[in-house]
Amino acid sequence: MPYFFWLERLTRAPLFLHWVATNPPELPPQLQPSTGSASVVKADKLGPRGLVVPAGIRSFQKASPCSKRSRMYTLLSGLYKYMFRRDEYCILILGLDNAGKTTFLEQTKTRFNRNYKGMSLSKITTTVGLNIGTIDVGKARLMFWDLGGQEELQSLWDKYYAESHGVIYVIDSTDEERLSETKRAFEKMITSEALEGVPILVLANKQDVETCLSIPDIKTAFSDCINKIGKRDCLTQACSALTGKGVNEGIEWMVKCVVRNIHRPPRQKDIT
Amino acid sequence: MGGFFSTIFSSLFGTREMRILILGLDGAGKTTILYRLQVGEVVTTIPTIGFNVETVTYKNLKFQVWDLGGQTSIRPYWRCYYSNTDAVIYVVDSCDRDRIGVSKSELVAMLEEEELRKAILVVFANKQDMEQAMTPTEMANSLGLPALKDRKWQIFKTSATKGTGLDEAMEWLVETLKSRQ
Repeated sequence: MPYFFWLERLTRAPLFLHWVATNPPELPPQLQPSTGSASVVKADKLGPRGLVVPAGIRSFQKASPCSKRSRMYTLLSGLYKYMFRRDEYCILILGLDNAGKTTFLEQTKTRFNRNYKGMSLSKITTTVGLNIGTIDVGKARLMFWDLGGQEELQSLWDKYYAESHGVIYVIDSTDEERLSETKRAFEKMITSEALEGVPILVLANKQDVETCLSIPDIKTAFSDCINKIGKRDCLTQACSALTGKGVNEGIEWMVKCVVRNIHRPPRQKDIT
Repeated sequence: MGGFFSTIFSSLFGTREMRILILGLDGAGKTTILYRLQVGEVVTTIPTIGFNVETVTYKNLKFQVWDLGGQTSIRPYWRCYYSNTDAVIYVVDSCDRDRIGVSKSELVAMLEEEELRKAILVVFANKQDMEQAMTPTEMANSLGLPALKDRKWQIFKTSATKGTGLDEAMEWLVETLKSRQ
């Protein structure tokens, strides 16, 4: 394990102490230090060896050391959980076929994971299924679902909506003819109820090609979608999945948005 | 010392043999696919009771391909072969709509196995040369594939007798397994 792994965790410790101070650990009821009325009831019962134990002694001997220990345990286990926990967010990558979704995913994985040897980008073929990828950005863990974009496969998209925290919609900026088709698919996606309030990153991909449409062109083409977007974060970002331009900016924006979106809390996962 | 050098040597030059299982119901075309991959021609097959295993080399990558019999009585023995599997090729007869449910339940049971947690799933929608073959979307839905959220999967339309789709599928498998190493 690299040293910065621990370094990163140690730097979180002050934050944790603050968190503990504001949220005192809760004890389960049977370990709560017994108070007067409760121990009176207990005094009627027989002690372990058939002796009647006075209420005060019983509560002193049993409850208080135990609760101290358990408080310590809760504190330590809380610290452990806090340091080894990551918030997991699921991000869908959608768009028409040949937009560059899988290339974008591979590029992202190569950029954000150390020692990941990606697929050679030129060898990527049509996806008829699901590609997955996981990256860690700060305390957040993003899990990507890259789905096939062919027309008949678009019916599978909505099966993933309910569990996703963010959507990356990839557009091929060089393909002017299919712009209306991609707009239709986009409209259908954003009007879905299961995706309400989910941040959307629109990636104008293939910006490395000189004859491509610029961001203003695409924004104009998508202008009548604006009122359908509703209350959610939305950003149009120029990008080239092949060269990697704009990928980091897009991902960082996405992380920022999914973290602050309180309507979809993350899944929590222990990493050990 | 010798062990040390041999590890270095094999990590530099050697390629680990990839272990691939071909599974699916009986009559889906598993054995035909195996021999199509290995010798490149259609062989006459009889129902497999037991297994066939062949080494297939594709793009400098060696595959050890296991084709296990798919009859109801011998399906419980599939699990004996799960360990160290890199990829599972699940063959489905695209015309057999009656038994797609059985195929689904076998697939679901298989994917729950801990030993296959890291294996890549490739579904071959076989017998696409026939009329009324199921489309990939139809197949994905009836096999319940959209419910798989943490595994990479891909469907290929194949026809083992005509030989279509197998090359693309193997190419994809090679690239995917290479990037996973």
